[in-house]
Amino acid sequence: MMGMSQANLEAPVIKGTTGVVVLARHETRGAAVYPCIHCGRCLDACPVFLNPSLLGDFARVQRYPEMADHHLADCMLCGACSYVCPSNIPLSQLFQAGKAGLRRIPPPAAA
Amino acid sequence: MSADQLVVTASPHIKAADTTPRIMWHVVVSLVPVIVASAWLFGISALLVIAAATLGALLTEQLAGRPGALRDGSATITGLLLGLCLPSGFPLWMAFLGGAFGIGFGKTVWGGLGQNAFNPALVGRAFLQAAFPVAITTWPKPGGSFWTLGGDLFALPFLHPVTDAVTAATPLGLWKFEKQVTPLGDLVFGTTGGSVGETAALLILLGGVYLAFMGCLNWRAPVAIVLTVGVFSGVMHALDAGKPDALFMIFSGGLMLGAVYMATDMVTVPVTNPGRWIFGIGVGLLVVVIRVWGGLPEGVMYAILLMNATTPFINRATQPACSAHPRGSRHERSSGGSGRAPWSERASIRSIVAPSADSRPGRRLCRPAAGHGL
Repeated sequence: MMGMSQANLEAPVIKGTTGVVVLARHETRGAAVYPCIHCGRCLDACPVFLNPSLLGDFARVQRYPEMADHHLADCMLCGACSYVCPSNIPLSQLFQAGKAGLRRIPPPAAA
Repeated sequence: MSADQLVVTASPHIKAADTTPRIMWHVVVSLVPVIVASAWLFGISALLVIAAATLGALLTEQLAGRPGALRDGSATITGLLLGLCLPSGFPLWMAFLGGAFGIGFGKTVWGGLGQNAFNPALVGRAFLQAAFPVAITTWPKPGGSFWTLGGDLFALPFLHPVTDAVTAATPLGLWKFEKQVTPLGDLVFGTTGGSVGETAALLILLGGVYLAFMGCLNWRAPVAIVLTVGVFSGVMHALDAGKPDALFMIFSGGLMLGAVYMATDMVTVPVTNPGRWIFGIGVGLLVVVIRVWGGLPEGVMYAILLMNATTPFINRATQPACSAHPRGSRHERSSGGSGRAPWSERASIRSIVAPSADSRPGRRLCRPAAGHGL
């Protein structure tokens, strides 16, 4: 379920394509996003025991170094947190952006 | 099908069926039996109080909250819970004001759903307790005709209410001031004086079990509260028979309502499961301390509000251990002065995670394995 969506039906199937999934509109996640209510379901779902709720809060305000402190790098973008989130927060997308944001920040010089 | 009809979303493309409004409306549904019981016990006046508080909450959310915030149901819960923890003869304008204050100053000024530090229903009740201490401790007797309008329901705003209703002290008040113990049966089935929705402990418990089954409630905090109150007051009762016993403490006052519906408000309790245990234990200890040694007969409201204040600290102390790191090493950035072993000494873990990664103390990342594909 972590594949990339295609906006273009001309997209080719290439060697690395492991499968094609077609979902009807009502099967996809809705557009409505609610605020995080800190229900803690993402913490239960996370296979590497991160705190996606907190990481999501950081990601929204682009506090990427804090995300790194809370082990963003261990996130493997499995998407379990986004799947269980009752508020439909696109957590794994936020984490992907966080990882990209961190790569733009030069690492501090070694002490 | 042309390409512009395709829905392009970020992965994962499917999602669990639960949504935040669905959780909230389940909580509202689970409150229906409690509301019916309050009408059964206290008559129409209970329903009027609940309706006034809910109206105040909904109106404030509509006027001051985010657009469309009414649909998620959280303001309805706040209003219902506030109404349920008020006495049945409570002047309606005060109940309305409490609902408005709870949503206004307990929720919207913080930024709406999910942002508030304190339970909005309890903020409203704490406001009413401070502003109208007499009205909120005037408990009409349960029973009587359904259509009897008890107390000062229709007292005009800002007029001093004149109480002529038959009142009944709450079980906790009776114990505290007159050393009378209410029979357990009355406590469980709610035929005692008290707030309209807090007396029927059994129905509240059933609502909680329903919510836990539906996955809308994390059972840890309420279980921790009940166990802590039971053990703490049981030990005290064993040491000093003058103290109330455990079952009386658990089933009297607002403990059941507070434990099942207030201490499970996901916004204001810790997000981690160990944190919820700590939160519940803290509430339980504070409840017993306030009830037994405090000046007030009941302390559930203040216990929960006080523990709400500690939630950020509990959250910080109970962050989940990232699987790649042993517990205790997760605050790597503070390890400079704490004397913890530097990364390079934890070879056994590092060899799994990053066999060739060198140790860079200045870098605070926990580093991905080589070829992780990030």
